[in-house]
Amino acid sequence: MNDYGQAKFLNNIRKALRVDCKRVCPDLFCRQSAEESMLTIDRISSRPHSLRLLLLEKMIEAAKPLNLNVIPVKTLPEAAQEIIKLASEKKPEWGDEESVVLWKHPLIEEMNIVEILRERNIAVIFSNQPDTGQTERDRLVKESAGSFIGITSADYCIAETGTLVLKTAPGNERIVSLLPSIHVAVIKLEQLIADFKELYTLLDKNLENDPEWIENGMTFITGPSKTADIEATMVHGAHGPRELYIYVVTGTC
Amino acid sequence: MIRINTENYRDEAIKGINDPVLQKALADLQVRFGRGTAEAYRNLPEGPGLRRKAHEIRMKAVENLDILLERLSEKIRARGGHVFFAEDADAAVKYCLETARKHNVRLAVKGKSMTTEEIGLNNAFAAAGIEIAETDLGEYIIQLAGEHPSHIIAPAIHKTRSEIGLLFSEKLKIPFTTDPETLTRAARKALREKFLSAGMGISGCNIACAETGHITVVSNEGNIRMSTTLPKVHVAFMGMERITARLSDHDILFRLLSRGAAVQKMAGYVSYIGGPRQAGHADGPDEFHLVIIDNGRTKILADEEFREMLCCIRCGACLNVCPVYGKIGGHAYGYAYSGPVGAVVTPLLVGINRAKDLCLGETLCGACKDACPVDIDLPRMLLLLRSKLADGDSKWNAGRENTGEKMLYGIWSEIVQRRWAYDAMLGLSREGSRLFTGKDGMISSLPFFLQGWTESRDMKPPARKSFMRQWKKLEKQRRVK
Amino acid sequence: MNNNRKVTLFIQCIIDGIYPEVGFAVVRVFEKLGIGVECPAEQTCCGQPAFNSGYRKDAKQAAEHFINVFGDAETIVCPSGSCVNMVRNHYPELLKDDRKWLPRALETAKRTFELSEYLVDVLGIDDLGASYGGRITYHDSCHLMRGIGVKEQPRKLIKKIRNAEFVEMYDSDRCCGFGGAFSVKYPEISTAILEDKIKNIISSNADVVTGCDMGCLMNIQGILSRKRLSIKTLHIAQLLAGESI
Repeated sequence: MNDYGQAKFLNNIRKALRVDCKRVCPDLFCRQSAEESMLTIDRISSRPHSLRLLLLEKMIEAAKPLNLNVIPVKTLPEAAQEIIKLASEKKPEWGDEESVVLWKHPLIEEMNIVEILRERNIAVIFSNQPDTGQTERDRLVKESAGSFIGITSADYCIAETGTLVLKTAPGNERIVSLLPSIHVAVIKLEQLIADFKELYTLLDKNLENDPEWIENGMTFITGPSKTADIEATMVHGAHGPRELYIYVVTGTC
Repeated sequence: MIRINTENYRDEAIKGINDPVLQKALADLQVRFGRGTAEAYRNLPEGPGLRRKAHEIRMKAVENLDILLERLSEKIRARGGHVFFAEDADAAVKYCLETARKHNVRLAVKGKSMTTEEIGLNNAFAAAGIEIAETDLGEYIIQLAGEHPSHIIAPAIHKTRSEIGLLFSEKLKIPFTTDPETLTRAARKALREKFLSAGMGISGCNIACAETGHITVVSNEGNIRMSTTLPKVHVAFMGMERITARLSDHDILFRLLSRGAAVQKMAGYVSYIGGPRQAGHADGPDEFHLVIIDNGRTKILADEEFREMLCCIRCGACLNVCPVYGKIGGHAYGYAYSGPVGAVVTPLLVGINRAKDLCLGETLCGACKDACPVDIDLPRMLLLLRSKLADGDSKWNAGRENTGEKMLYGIWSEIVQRRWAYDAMLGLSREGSRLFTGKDGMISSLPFFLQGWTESRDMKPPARKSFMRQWKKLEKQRRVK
Repeated sequence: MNNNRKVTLFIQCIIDGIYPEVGFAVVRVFEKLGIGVECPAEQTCCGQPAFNSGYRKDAKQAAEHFINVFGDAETIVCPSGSCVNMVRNHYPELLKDDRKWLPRALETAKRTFELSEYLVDVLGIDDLGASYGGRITYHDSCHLMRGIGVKEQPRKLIKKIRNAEFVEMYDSDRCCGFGGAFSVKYPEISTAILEDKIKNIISSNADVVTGCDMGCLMNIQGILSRKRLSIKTLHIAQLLAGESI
């Protein structure tokens, strides 16, 4: 059987470490104590609205130097209005046709944005349609590359750094947050967490319930694409989106 | 195929020192990043001590590499990914080339990866007639210019905006401009076409996670996301040590990596990749290959005194504070890795004697240790490498570098154990120095191996009477009184 | 107040051979404080030149000699951060496989102090009643600052010097490019680094640059002299002894 060099390779490592393959290292994959993790998760889930709003303020501060726009909105329709306003202000980067590519996501569906965009002659592309074969992939790449706006939600959003956490899933494709010139993310205030420590605690919890929770991909996005490779001058939009807008739905209470 | 030019350290260093453009770029880089890193560590909620914790996490991973790599490959294979274990550079390159040929790849897009630089992948592909487009803007610039990177995270710092403007107007046929924004747009456009048409995407791996079976790639530009998402085949290369056991280990490591690399709280993009496109998904590559590379690393692993070098996450923080790198730039180090990390890891990978100037050509100021996000004691290992050069070490195939010097220190060690002999040595040097002392009481020209000092500096000659001699005389007088 | 105190001096080889006046300045500093001073006659060099060049067996012999010579001393004070770094951090490494010498090395390390560290941290003194009419800037030596963590102590001492103005130079904690044998083996790199240091010293407008290590100061003095610049280099002990050369 071809093991692609694995046995010999790992054996070399064991020799270098002077160990044998039968050794056990019981605490190697141990996660943090259940108690500590419970405390963190409780803290997140029971965080009062007022504290979440404080986190949002913190994120708005963190976003400033990143050229990242964090915009609080009260309701989803308000978010929709803002996005439509944005779409009418911006011009496509490549070509003349205006199209928007969307995640298939409950939050985005709830915004009811599709009809309004179409009324304004802006084409709408859904990232995942029933046909998931090769042709669907090619179609999606082509159409996303031509879109000037990509709309996603996120699994989590980290206040300390302004980071979006996006898991890849059917309907939640990676290229929607990558190929369009402008990336728009819509999240609920409840998805906002304080820092990476909280994130990894939540991820651990998810993994406990489902070891394949991350599946084949997860991306952290902190601000729009940027480069400083020419004489250390900051330029936004090297390869990924040039602009990033995060609309945080705070609710009305 | 692999470019190793460590023998020309001194000449390349002098070239760098005499290049005013490079000098300005290095100074700017070190001010921008180097000075900010220490501050960023201090501002961590856990304080700079977090670096020690990161060191422990990395060390534990390194000491359990076999278990972690087994787990990683198991998980990736379960998702339909391919994992290949390459003992050396040739095996890694060959596997990647075969994969490219199998898919009739004509163009591959590559995200910044020092490991592929280490194994000489670009040259091998060029020889096989397959184009590899570098996609990190800095790497793209130097690829267009036909050069090699001079910094781990800022590969094109040695080029000015007008040089880049000229280069782009010639190669990309755009009107000449020195505006970084316009130049970046031009590269964005040119590379977007390549991303969309490439048959293969190539990346490195920052820190894999064994528990979940993912590699991670980090960038600010988004080029690595492009390279790993759009082409139908993705080949990722990782040095075998770039892994941790648990997902939550990444919390500390990414926060420190971002601070060390570019004084950021978090890098722009961090992607976890655990295999090819899954059923029901509409994007990602159809095929995912992970190539895990040894290429001399087990030798480092086997030597406990050098093992901690495998904790390195190649962030480049040590380059940004090193006074030597700040003057000579990256090319002098003659291999993929420059600066203090290069000075330690290159001799271990290519041979200690062959890279002797890298071991000796450092001031031992210790700034690199303080800047390292995973608290690696680079100065300790530089000193250790010097001991291998001094006495030779069969384990490392290292031979004694300088027999004359060895003899001198042998004599010296006898002298320092006897004050009378030491006094005699001082007396001799004092007498000798008279020949060279000028009217101003300073020596402005010294012979033999000491010549290096007086090329640019004067020296005060030894005193007529040493402190100890004067002291002993005073002691005697006191006793008489 | 310090009638019973006594310190044993280890005079760095560069001071012993080239700058004996610095050694006497150290003696005067302790005289001012009424602290008795001893200088074991057999002392030579801590072994750092050999250690830094990789000749560990030879460095080990120097280390053993040092430990023998200073074996009975209660408190060892040395006017060089680099030598103290050698004793405190490198002796234990050098002798780590030697069961006979390692405990002695560790024990000697505990009793060894750098001058400014000893004055400020152990004696709790920062004012030595010294006077110097001029502007003083301070260079942080690498081994002193990063090796044994002494950064504020010399500054406290300098700030108490009467008639003097203390000015921080830019990048005071950046290496001067000395690096021992490095300065002779790679003079071009060493000089390039040193040139930056000199620029920062000049921009500080100081008329004296001081430090706690004659290695760095010899390097700095060497290029100042070559450039015919009038800025003086003085060891901190020379300032504290009240000398105004």
